[in-house]
Amino acid sequence: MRRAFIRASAALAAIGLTAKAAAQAAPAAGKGGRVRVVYQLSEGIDQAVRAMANLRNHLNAAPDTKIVVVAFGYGVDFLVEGARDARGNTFDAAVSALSSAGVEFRACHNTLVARKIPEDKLLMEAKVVPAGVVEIARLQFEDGYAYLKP
Amino acid sequence: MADPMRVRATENGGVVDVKILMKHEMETGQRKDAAGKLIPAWHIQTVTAQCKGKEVFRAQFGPAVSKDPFLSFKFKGGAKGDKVTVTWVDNHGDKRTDEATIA
Repeated sequence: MRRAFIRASAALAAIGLTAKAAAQAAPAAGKGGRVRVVYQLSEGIDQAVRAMANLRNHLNAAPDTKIVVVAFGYGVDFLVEGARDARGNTFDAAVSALSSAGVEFRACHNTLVARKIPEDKLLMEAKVVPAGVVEIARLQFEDGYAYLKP
Repeated sequence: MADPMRVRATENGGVVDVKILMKHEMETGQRKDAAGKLIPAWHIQTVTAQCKGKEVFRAQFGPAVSKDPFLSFKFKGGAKGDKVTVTWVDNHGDKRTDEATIA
């Protein structure tokens, strides 16, 4: 389904619409149809491990879901390069697999400053947003995302 | 139109380490959709990287490369503050260029 959607927007752009128009058409097309979910990760590695499983299961059961993960506070730990869970496994493979499946990872800039984590130490999949809480509020209020905290 | 790449470049002891994460479907042309029709090939064909107007890296990609490819390479001769420019071209003639400053 996601592929079909990408094809459709590619085709729109090809027939002369600007990329911007295609981007604006996307949310409208999704309204009512595509479920959008924001995951809040703010509690550290254990929560992140649970979330990875939840995200995988979520996409297995409902592949068409648009998922954004917002990480702040201790929740950014798993997005730092070389981070490991209690069993010593790294997160990079899980994050890149989920990212390929369309999950977006957003890290809070305020947290990075407060905890002195340089931006280039984050995994490449992670995008930095100005404030995690603002991002979650905005996604829910403006874009109609459902909220989940694993 | 194409999604942006993430590019990171760091200099250490005269060697610049470049990491690139491209966003691309990389369809092989071998797969079939639910209706049994062949999904046409759609993948990156060439990737080039430039630093200070000089080409420092060139690669040819084919259908065997995975979706959302990750690429890392090193080169000598870059300094902190220089820009590394990376471009890919796919078999539809689509292009994407992104750059990063060496840190």
